Amino acid sequence: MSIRVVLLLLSGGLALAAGAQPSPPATPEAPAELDSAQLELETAREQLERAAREVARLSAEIVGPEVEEVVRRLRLEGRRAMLGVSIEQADDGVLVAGVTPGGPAAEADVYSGDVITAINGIDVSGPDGVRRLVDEMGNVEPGDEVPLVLKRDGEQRTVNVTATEFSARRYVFGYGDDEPNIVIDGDRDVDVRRGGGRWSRLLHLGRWADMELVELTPGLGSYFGAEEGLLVVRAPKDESLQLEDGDVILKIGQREPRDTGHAMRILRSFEEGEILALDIMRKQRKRTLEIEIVDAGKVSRRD
Amino acid sequence: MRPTTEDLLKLRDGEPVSATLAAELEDPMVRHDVQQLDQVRRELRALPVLQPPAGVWDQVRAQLTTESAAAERPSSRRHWPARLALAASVALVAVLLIGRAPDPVSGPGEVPMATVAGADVTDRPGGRPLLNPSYVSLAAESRRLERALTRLDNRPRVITAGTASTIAELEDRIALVDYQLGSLGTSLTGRERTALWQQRVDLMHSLVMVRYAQAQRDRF
Repeated sequence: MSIRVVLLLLSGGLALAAGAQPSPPATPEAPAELDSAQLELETAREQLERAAREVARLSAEIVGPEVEEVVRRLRLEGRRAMLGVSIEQADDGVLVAGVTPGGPAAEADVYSGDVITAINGIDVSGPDGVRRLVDEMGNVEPGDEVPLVLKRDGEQRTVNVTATEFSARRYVFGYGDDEPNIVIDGDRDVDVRRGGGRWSRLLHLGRWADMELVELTPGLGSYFGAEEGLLVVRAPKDESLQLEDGDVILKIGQREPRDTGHAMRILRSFEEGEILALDIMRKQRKRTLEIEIVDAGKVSRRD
Repeated sequence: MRPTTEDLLKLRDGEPVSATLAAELEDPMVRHDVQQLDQVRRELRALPVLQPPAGVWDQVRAQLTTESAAAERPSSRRHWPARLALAASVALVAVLLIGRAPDPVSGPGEVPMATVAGADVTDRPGGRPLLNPSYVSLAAESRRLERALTRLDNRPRVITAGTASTIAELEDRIALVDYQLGSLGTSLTGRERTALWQQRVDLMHSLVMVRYAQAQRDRF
């Protein structure tokens, strides 16, 4: 199935989900139709979820030989800091050609089209700006605050970007028959192998997938006894995950999730056989749930 | 003529559309309707965030479950024309979101991408021909999609773990592409650079679609 077809399916799922929205109240004498409509709504939403995951899977599948060759040349040893921008050499500095969505530069209000003229006090406005910037990034550690001097609309400004660690262990490339051709593993560098079934969990979370979450706002948090965290609006149907509606997830494996995306990244980092400790707030009392990761996306209660 | 979803997707993707449709889009009445939709969107986004009252979470949850189930039923049988119109509106708003998005208020103006050293590549990985052989146009497309993302409402909203995971996966892959473009820099060949930019555009496109679809779940 081509990615364009899936995008159309995604549009269709979107239309279905949108169509099954609230409208005039129902009459009480038709519970069967009510159940049917509710089922239709849930089905439309599930189709939307499946189409969205398929889009992500195909996005990983479409890489060609050039990209695979580039992946093999990546140097991934050691800790790697990143700013979350793609760069190109421009006449007057280093052009920010792309800003990674959700990345540190995006958080610091760096925009595509900005031109970097200095980083960490190092001038990069010359014709070798990209090389000088890449060299300087070699001296940056994850967590460092990196001052960038930018030109935007003819004006100069300085922004501070907090570099994050580039974590490579979660990437796979070139699926064929549902198996990856290339696996980037943070522990083993770039590897080429087949039969890596454990990677299948990258694009779905199994029994966690139906859980509904929202980031807690300070106002909402006061009702739940937590200042920060992720509110479980709807718990996973799988009871072995032990979560209940109204729980607030405070920590996942000792790490505080910044947002729902971060929470998913933390969950994905757990390997089969590990114990996942979830610190939660339930009815304004702290609790810790211990859940054993059985296999990809599946868990069971630890006895 | 009424544009089909295919037409709207072509418009959003910057692909050629029929001369008839292109002419209709220039019609003052169509423009007026588009401006009205844009105004409604701005006003909806300006609505204040409401906080729930204390101690009624369980009651609200139970009430919402009952009322939403009751309210959603009639639409399945009686409102197909309205559904189609709604679906068309969704697609149209998607076009507006992506195609008409100006720069963010604090963002930069247009920077001519032609200032970037170009590449001379005529096909993309896997043999599929590129609409435009230069990665410069891909970078411009990528930037357009970034602007579309910035226009989505980023306030916290209910999301399933499955969708959150998909979004995180797409963002991580874009991060990897950006890391490759940055760390390998000048050692990349024109073909490699173009392939990476094509991958970035594909990923950005998917991300916009998923984020937009997610936003619609709570909007209608």
